[in-house]
Amino acid sequence: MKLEIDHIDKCYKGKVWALKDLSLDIETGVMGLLGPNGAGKSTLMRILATVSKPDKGLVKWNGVDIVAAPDKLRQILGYLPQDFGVYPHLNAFEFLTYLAAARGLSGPAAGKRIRQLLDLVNLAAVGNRPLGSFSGGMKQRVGIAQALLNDPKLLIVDEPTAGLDPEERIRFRNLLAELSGERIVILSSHIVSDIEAAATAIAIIHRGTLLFHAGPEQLLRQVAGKAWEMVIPSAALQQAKEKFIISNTTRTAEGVRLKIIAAESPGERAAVAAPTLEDAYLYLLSTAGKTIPAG
Amino acid sequence: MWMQLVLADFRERTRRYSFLITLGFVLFFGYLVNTGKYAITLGACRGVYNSAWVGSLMTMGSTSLLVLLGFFLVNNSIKRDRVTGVGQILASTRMSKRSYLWSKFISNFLTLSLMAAILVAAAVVMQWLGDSGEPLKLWTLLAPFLFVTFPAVTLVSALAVLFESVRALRGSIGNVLYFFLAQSLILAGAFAGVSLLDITGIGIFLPSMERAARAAFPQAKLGLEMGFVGFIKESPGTVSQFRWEGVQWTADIISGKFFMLAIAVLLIFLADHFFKRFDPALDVPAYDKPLGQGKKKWERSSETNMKTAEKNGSLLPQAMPKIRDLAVTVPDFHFIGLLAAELRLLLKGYHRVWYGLASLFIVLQLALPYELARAIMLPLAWIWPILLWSSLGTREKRFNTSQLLFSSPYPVARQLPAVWIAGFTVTVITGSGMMVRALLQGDIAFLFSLGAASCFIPTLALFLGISSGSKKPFEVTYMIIWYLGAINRVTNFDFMGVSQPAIAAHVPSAYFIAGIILLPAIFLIRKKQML
Repeated sequence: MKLEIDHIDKCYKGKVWALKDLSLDIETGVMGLLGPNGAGKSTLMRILATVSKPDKGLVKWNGVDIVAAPDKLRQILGYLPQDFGVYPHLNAFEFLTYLAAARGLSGPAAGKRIRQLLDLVNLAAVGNRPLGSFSGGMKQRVGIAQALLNDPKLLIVDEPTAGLDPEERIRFRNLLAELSGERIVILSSHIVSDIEAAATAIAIIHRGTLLFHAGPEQLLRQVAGKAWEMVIPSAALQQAKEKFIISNTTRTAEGVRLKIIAAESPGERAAVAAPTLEDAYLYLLSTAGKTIPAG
Repeated sequence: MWMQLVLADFRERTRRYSFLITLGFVLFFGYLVNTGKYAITLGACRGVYNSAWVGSLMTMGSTSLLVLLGFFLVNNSIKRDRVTGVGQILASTRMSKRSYLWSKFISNFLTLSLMAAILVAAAVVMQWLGDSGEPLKLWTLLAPFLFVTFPAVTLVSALAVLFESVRALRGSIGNVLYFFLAQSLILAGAFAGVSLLDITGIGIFLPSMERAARAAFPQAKLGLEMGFVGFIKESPGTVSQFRWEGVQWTADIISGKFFMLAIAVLLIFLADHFFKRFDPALDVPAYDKPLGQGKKKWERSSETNMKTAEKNGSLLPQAMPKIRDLAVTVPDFHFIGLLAAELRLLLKGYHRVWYGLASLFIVLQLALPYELARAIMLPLAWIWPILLWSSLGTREKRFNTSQLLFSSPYPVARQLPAVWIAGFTVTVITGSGMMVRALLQGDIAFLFSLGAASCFIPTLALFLGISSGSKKPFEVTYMIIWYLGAINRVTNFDFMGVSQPAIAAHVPSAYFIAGIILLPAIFLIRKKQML
């Protein structure tokens, strides 16, 4: 299984470039797509989900151009958009049955799978309630269930944990880990910890271009020796914020403990710290536009 | 602060396509009046095209348009704040309910008045440059707009605020109710002598016009005919012209218009009582509202399910099914399955009274005398499902499900035909009583008309729904066609073939052909929307 993205461009009205000359090869496993708001993540997801078309470039699924022949991919695609709605008068079971019918899935097996999926996303007990009475998190779980209706070979999930409570978020992470077998999962998020838990590869997009694509270890190597910890007085916090890239702030009895990303030691009392993916992500974004060494 | 809200709202509306489209209609209407294509005749007489005649004719026609269509243009302002979430932000500010509603009312009034003002300007230019040979008398031309159109748009603006504030009047039910209310207002004021409610001014202008015509042609039969020459009304043939210098704007007439303004103010106070300041707890949707003290069936079963699940431990993470253990589904598309799902979606969510009355209409189509069933029950049966039809093609946008559906295989080739057939099925079922009667009666021409209408209605609904993403264009268009054709028997609008002349003139066939032309457009628009 292989998804090839070959030099794609996407420009919206008013000459707003969402994606510019972006190329990326994705293979079996969970690929985490990271980037700040407006980086082009959702545009890329919509193109991969065949809901939108690139202005230029090719997207191929196992060698087949999905822009020219989208329905081949749609049969094995599961897609959870960032922003979607539900029909408020249908209950969860009816809504999933409707979407299953639209995807050409019917019969007892489809009914059984829908019930199991409701169980999986912890909605079985409220499956007969109209969706209009669901909270945002519950609707999100219905969205997750619909993306799994056809046991997809390509699963695209855009900000899947938005609106989920911590317990459900952990549950979804576990689900993703379980899903990462013989399929490609593309998980977009701006929450690094979500990606950290499941991704076997990471791509970082910034201003419509690819900034980084490799495994989590290579991403961590980008920032090796560049993460520091030091405690400063509270009064000096504002000054430090202006001077350094700060990835974490913790209040302590002695003052404020900072985690600083810097190529050189930010101060005499600074000690080298173990970097996280979040540190690496921040470092890459802060150096965007400058040359980044290959991972 | 409220002035800023008025301005922001006014700018937002006047930059929308719907504003430009309605403005286009209004200006086109002005052109038709000045070129004699929209006319009033009193029997075989009409006034010369002087400032008084043109001003009054334009006032009556444009006010009717603004009363009927203007409402639908402006009754979405509070809804927009609700949908975008801006309403909750405003609710958290110091702005009072009353200030908010007044600002919406003023914004409605400015939007509709701008249209009227543009029409007034066009009327002046057209009268000035026209070849009627009559001098331009500015006050005579403008006074009808000032004393009739502006009070009318004031009332419409207030009604729009009230309809948006009362939960039950929001959306489609309110649209239908308003249409009938506006019709009743126009008829009551114009012909039933209720001068205080004379919203279009017909009751003011007509008696004065008749007196002038009677003075010029004492023997003439004077019956009012108003409409588009050659379409709604027949071409008048030879028309005798008389001179009419307009209405004397007496204190009585003007005070009557102040009464209308007072009603508008009262409506805003009434709206204030119903408006819940975007509080979701007080503004709960129908499916979430408890029925009296009891609980809905789904609420009881949800609670039972939850308790059972907690008791047997199936809510614990380890009890959750594993992905690999889920039932395997193999794509095996069945059109009937999708059609059944579309039908379920179309029919779900209405009160049982709705289904009861729809069934009653079918039974009455079968039980009443043939002509009575044709004249009354069929039009009733085919206005009743208007809320169902208007949802065709709009759901994906209204409920934001387009990405879920458009990423399914063959969304145009599979889903769209299923939606159309679901709409067609509802149309045929609701008119089935009349179809059976026509068949038993051997009235094949009428049976064909019913078939043609059954195809036309869902096609029009799907076309307008898909192109606009909103229910309103179909609801307004269909109500106008239905009212003119099925109720008033205007031949060119009688797409159901309720009257014999319409069938003889092949009007239902013409609508059927229009539907055939619209069908490929529906597919093309959807295809374009997808990518």
